[in-house]
Amino acid sequence: MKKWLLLLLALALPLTGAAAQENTVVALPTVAPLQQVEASTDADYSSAPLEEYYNANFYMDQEDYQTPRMTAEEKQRTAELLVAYQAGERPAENVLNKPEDVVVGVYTLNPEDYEGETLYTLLPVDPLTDEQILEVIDAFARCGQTFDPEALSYRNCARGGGSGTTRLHPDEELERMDMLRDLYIRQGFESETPFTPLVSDDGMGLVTLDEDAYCGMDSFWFFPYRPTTDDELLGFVIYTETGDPTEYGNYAAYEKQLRLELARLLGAPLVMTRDGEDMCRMGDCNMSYGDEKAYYAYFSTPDGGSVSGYLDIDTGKVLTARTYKKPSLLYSDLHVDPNEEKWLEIAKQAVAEARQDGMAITAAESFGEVWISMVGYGVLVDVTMADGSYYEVKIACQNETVYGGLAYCSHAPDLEKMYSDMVSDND
Amino acid sequence: MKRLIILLLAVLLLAGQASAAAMNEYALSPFAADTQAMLALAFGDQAGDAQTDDREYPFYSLPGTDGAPFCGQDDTAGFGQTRLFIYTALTVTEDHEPYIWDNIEPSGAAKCALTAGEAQAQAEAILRALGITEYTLQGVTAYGRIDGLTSGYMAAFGETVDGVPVYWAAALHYDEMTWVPESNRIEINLGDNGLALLQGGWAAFTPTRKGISIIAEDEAVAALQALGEDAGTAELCYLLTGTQEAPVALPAYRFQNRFVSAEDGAVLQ
Repeated sequence: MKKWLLLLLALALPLTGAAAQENTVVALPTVAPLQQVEASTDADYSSAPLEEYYNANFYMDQEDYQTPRMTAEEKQRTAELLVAYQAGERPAENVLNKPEDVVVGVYTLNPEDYEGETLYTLLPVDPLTDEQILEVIDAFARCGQTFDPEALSYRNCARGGGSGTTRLHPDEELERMDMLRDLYIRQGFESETPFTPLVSDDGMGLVTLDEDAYCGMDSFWFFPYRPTTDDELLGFVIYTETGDPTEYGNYAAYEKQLRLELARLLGAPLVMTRDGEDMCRMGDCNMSYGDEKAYYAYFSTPDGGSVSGYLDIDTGKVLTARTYKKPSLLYSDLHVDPNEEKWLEIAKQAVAEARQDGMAITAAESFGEVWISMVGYGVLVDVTMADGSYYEVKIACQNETVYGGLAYCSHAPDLEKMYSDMVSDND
Repeated sequence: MKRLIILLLAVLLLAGQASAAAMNEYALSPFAADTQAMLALAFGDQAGDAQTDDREYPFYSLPGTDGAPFCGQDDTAGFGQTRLFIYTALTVTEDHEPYIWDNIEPSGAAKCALTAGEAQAQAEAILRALGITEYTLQGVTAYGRIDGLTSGYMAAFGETVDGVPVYWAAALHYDEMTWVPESNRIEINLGDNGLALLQGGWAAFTPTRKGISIIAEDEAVAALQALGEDAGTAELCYLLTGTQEAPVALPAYRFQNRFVSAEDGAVLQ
């Protein structure tokens, strides 16, 4: 449960705080004014939702290393180490406002931005060593404060990857981030005040983490306990954007070509709203591919579905794509023989209806029974086309119709490559 | 001729009543497989050395071993189910991967000497040895398409009662975060060297109400059509419902994922 919610939280952060890059952008001519989005009065920017998150998802009555506090044993050692500190013992490293590769860090805050809090503490997922506790004590002392472990809370501390941000992000803020990212990439907008990773100067910040100390989390975001301005958010978006600025000017052409291909291959409608886009090396997204440079975008359709695809920017052809629309099905305990001929016919018909260029189907093969989350069981069928591309079609047993949508791949999977580790492990 | 027709009608009527009388309502309880057969399948000639541990249910392994071979009958999950599992030593020495889609042989023929028909026959013999007699074949899947992994077959069987299949009600699966019953289905993985793995859930059925008269299929179809279903046929079955503590089997007709009572056509799901 906890892992799921952490995953959801991570997914809610659309920009995964990857390595910072210089604020360079290809300036594009535009006369469009920066679109202002009013912050919703319903959105809660305080620390309160984070408290609810911790209460709902962590065992607050038990000790662990992902809740924002020290364990009883660590508190006991802290008391002893405070005495040692007063007697002159010092840590080797100063962790006050440490910006990178953080295991332990203490950060100065503007109290007006953080509900009166003046310091924020980051602690690792492992039991604290004496040296690390001394580092915290020392950082507090450098700010004229005596560290009190009892004062640690969700409002001034995060630990071990339990949260990757000082507060949760209301939908309104996430939507503004998406829109601002679009304005930056597509129209070259820049923030008036460039983002700086130090939180103490303007209330927003970002530090990179030692991933081993934070359960794989690579960065921590400081967002003030108040609504962010568009300019603040734009600066953050630019700072965390990992795309290649030299490609931004080509995005519109890539998108157009992708839309045309999605219509040809999957019957996607022309009227779709683009919800996101990026560039990638295809092999990083799909083990069946290699160094193809791909433009990726995902869209929502008017009927509540979604369509996504990866376009090879050198050939203008789609590498993989899929449509998805969640049917409202109840769970079904029905199991069927996945090798019956009828599954192949259902799959072939679905592909033929979606495909707009009339390409011939050369084969259909069943890949057995598959589990469909919350719905029960289905049959997976691969439909191969005359050009060697293929579609994965999942058919729900309960109503014998295609479940979700179609998945397209431009070539058959390279099993030897995909499962090389597994096979070599077993040799 | 007239007498013959009357005789035929009488026979048909009696046959219908006999069929109707075969339907009951049942309470479910954990199924107890033949322990000696299970031990023999798991450990072969070392079956006599197998020992249990301190679990709440019978779990057997060999002294001094960590991992397969082992077997057990876990009846702690409720819903009147026993989770049967047999992991033979082959799961250590061979790489049976029937659950990776890419590893399924679409042709239905695995790259081994064993045929699908032989695998099914061997699997059915295993079921019978365990004391399982009421089942229906749900499919035989060939696997081993990925070079380097073991080839074999997975035969899957669903539980039947009174000769008809059983299905769990959707209402018991409304939330995956809560404990839900698994299908009453056993999957058996076999290769050239014999049984690799057996796992699945099974139940025993005790009648709580006998001799329930059931409606004809066409009445059930009409009832399903009245619910808006495009039903042309309906399958006689048992719908497993109730609670984790008190699961029951109700006679039902099924069309796709819709169920009506076989007793009176009332909607069940």
